[in-house]
Amino acid sequence: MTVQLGNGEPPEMVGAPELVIITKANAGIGVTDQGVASATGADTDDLAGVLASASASLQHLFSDDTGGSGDTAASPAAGNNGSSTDDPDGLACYFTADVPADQMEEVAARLIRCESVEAAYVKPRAELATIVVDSPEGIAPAVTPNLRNRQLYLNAAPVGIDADYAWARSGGKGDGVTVVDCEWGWNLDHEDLIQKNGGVLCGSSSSNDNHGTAVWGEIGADHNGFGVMGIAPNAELGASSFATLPTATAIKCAADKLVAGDIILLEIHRRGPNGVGGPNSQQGYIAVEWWPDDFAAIRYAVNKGIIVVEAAGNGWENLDDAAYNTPGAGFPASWKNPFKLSNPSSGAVIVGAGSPPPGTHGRNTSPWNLPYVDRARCGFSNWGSRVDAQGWGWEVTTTGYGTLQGGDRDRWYTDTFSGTSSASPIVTGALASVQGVLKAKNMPLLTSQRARSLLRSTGSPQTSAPNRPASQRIGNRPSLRQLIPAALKTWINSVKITYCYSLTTTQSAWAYVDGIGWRRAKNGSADGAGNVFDVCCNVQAAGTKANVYIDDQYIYNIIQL
Amino acid sequence: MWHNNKDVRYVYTTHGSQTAYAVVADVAGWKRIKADSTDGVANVATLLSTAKAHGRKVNVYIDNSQITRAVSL
Repeated sequence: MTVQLGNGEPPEMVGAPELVIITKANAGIGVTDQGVASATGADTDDLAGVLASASASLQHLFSDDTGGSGDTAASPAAGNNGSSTDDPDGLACYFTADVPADQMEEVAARLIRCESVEAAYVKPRAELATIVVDSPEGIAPAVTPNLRNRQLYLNAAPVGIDADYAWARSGGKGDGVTVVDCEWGWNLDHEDLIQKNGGVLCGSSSSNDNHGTAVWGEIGADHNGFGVMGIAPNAELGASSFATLPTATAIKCAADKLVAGDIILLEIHRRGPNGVGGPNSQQGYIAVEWWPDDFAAIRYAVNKGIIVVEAAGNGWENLDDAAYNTPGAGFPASWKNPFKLSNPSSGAVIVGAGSPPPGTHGRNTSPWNLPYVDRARCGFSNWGSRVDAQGWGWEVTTTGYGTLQGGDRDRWYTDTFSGTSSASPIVTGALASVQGVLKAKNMPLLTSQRARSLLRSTGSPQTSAPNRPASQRIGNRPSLRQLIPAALKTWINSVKITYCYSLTTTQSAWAYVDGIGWRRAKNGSADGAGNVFDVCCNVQAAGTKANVYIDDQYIYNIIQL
Repeated sequence: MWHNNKDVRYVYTTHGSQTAYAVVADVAGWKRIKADSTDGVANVATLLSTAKAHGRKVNVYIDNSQITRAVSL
């Protein structure tokens, strides 16, 4: 097995540097057939001059053809004046320009001096958050064997996420949930990814597709008796590609294809301010929300009620490092370090990589000779207070790569998928299972923020390994046996009680919560259940509203409003 | 049997344990709430009382001339 201690991906599997321009909201900048224009009469001559000298044109980062806000300057009535309620995130102010990579820094420095420009910066190329393992040639058996026994991450906690617990519950295979993976390429013809394959929704897939194929396999591989088993096989899988779109554009495009309760997975990281390694080093690579346009795109998705899961990155970095408080060159003045918990948050679930148990697949150490200590931080994984949860960062058996089974590439499998890339789909799949259960129970779906909270309060705790103490936070490994009951228990606010029902036998009283269904006044004490039911009856009879704390069976608490 | 979509005419209780009665429209006479359990009788009595106070219709199940379950609509 050859392990490359860097990105090592072929060129089509990494992004290009991106030039991002943020214009001032009150300048009303847009693009017309004639070039740059202002809807508010702002002077655009300097901006147009810089672009002309670079033979470049301005393009909306979040444009109409990917579901964005589109050009508005040519039509002032359309409202790109920074105050539009249709664009509360100010996405219409984000642009890119077709400038050659070797000129981007110089052009950005000139753009930032333009009257109508708030910020202009260059983002390093985005890359996959994985540790690449070469694919050996091999011959596959006539029929792919069942590989479930190699997927220890599905096992009961603490080793796995206890997928069986979810699968035994209605909706627990991710029914009714769509998950969009944002990265470069996917093998859409893989034998184990047939049933819920929604294809590429934004951009075009790269021909180098092992990584996306591996991610899809973890989340949603078919339960068909051969190959691997996805965590949420009934979830619809989709893809949004960075191969042909800027990262922020692809994220927003994915969000525009989804509805509240669906999930976006960001399988990328890029070189941050501490990234001083060579071209094949991921040292200092960090989660992409640190860059303002990616942050804005994530916020857009989270504000739509979509859960965003984001790889923490494989940079060996402490995300609490003070270096991340300093804005990148050309960042807007309003920017604040999103890794700092006291600052405005993107709302995304950030996932670190945890070690598998020793002996997994007959191995006990990583290629850096770091011993496997179950749930300890993988050496490469970024850590910090912002990291919400962990998944397996080594020894993940899934589709693609061909290191476990070669032959026809549509039948490739690996058991060495790795990185925060392999960790994030485990958390994503677990959340898809939870959302499926909640849908089946007609319960409110998790928001990204609530998912973060529940992942932090449940699960199997992080452990310490030599030189990798648990204080270097990557969070808990999800346990669906804990996560699902916790997710089901929630406050429903300002709701009517439609009916009340009681027997004369002890603690046998129910109320129908409007839009949810029948729930029993929690039994356990006769007077307590009676008090809850008493208030239910008063609320129901008066036709008023209440806040109720319920799960899929009981009403625990009620506040009469 | 169930008596559906009825008004509650009267609810009567005493200070004695599990002693509560109701008169339901179109059902002849006082019907006792079956003395199965202290809290169960209280729950049914509460349901019928609040329904009457707010003019809600009820479904009641009467078995052997005793109310054994009730739904407030």
